[in-house]
Amino acid sequence: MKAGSEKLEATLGLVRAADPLDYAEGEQPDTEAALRVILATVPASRSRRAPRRRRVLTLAGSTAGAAIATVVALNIAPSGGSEMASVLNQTGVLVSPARAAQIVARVQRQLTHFAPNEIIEFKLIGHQTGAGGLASSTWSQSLWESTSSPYRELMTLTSSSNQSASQDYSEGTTTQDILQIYDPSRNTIYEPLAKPAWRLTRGPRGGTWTVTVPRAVVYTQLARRLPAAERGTERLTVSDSQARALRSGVKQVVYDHPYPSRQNFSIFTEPRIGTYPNITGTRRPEVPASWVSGLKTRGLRVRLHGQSAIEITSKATSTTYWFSAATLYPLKSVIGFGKTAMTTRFTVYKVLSGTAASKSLLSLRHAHPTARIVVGERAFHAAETRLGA
Amino acid sequence: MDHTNSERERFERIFRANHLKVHAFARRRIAAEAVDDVVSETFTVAWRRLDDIPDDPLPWLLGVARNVVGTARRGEARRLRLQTRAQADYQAPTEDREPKLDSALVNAALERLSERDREALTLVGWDGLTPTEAAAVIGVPANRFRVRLHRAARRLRWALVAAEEEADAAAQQERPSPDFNPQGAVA
Repeated sequence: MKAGSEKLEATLGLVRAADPLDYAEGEQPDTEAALRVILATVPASRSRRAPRRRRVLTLAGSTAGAAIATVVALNIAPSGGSEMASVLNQTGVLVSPARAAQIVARVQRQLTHFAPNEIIEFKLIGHQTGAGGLASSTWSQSLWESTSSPYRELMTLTSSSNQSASQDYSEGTTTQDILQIYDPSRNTIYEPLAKPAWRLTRGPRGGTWTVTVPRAVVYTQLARRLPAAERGTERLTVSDSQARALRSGVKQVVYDHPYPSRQNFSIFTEPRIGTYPNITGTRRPEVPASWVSGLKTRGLRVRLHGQSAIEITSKATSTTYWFSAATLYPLKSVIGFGKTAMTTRFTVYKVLSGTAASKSLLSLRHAHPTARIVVGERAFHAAETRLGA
Repeated sequence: MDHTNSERERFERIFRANHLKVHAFARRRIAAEAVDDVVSETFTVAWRRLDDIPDDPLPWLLGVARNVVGTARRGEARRLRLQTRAQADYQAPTEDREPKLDSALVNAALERLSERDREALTLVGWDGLTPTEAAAVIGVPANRFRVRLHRAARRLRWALVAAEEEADAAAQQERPSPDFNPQGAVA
């Protein structure tokens, strides 16, 4: 089973390999010649008009969520470079390279391996300051993720900038890669697809059941285009225990094979009863394996938020992470990006047992009990566009 | 040092460090004959707005180049589509084709995606930007870009499945059908 970040990296590998850039002989650009041309065409002295602040702010603001993004992006940072890391243990003593590798590996494991039927919860506050105090942004994110099928997750994100009166907010859940979103201005939850109908009848043999399910589920506003071969129902024979799990919601009908016939038109086929590949983990903080290589010595006594911490610094990405020495969960990260600095503080990072109360944290309907529910592709896509989800 | 000279030196440093990347960015996205114009316009803007350029100038420059490319594209959208199609045809696999990894297949799948998805994937995959840098190019919050990138990659995987199936179906149509298939009943 591939984690989301691995699948992403594999897909990006295909994209890289398909890079169409192929300069013909003699077509390679000559930088010095181009520079001479441009210097001859631009005015010798630049006009002293006021800088276009709006555009600057847009660019600066665009990195507002960069701490979150960098935190989560690290696991897909291009590898194979000269990434260097230093690792300090909880007493502030620089550890040997071998020990550092062990610590990084432990942190990696702690952030990526979870027992089933748990809920990972984390909340963070991020802050970015731009060059010369030009732009300052703050954002907060909460995320709850289930570690078991159907791998539901709920995320809220609020961001604001001192240069803009507006505040962005988004909230949605994902189950089996299908998004549901909440529009606070309309107090409405948009769900793109009704749950596939299934019916249980006695099976061909004792102790078995027959599940009748739609042969395919369409995820599109163009549902009428479902090909004839994919219409109708399919029968699956399942065991008693599978039927019980289906009734209780522990297991469900999942459709494995996504088949798109055209853009914005996806069909899930091959129904079965069971779990779905774990699609979570893509928005959690992770530490890239490449950090393990090349360690740099430094000495500091590390205490953070009143507790012992492990400090890991990646020189290549100008990122420093602090992890709790007790739990190995993240406490803080600081990322340099040009003249900007982004700080992310994890106010909560914990793993909850899968009780009914904690599972309700994954539900938009539970979070907004008075919200109107709109099920349908067209309304969902309109909301998705409106909210920029 | 004279103020103008120091500005010019900074501009030259930025140009030398980023010219090839801006050129490649444009070359991947627009007809070859228009690339030099895009690069020239991008750096003209850079010179005019030197004070605005951050210490890491590449995302900023590519953001400008993206706008310039967008303007140029609007006037030649049809020609670009034809060019892309011709390029895909030209790269069609031959006898040693490996459908799952074939670049023509991936490009065909990329063509099925929306411009937004394609841009997310190519900024990271082709231009070698980190998601944070790519977000700065597009002008969206990095966390939102990250989500967009994951969704785009997922949709590309689906599009690859479809492209492969279409390629297989086309190959099967070319093959003579067998007279007798004993496995047919359970295939």
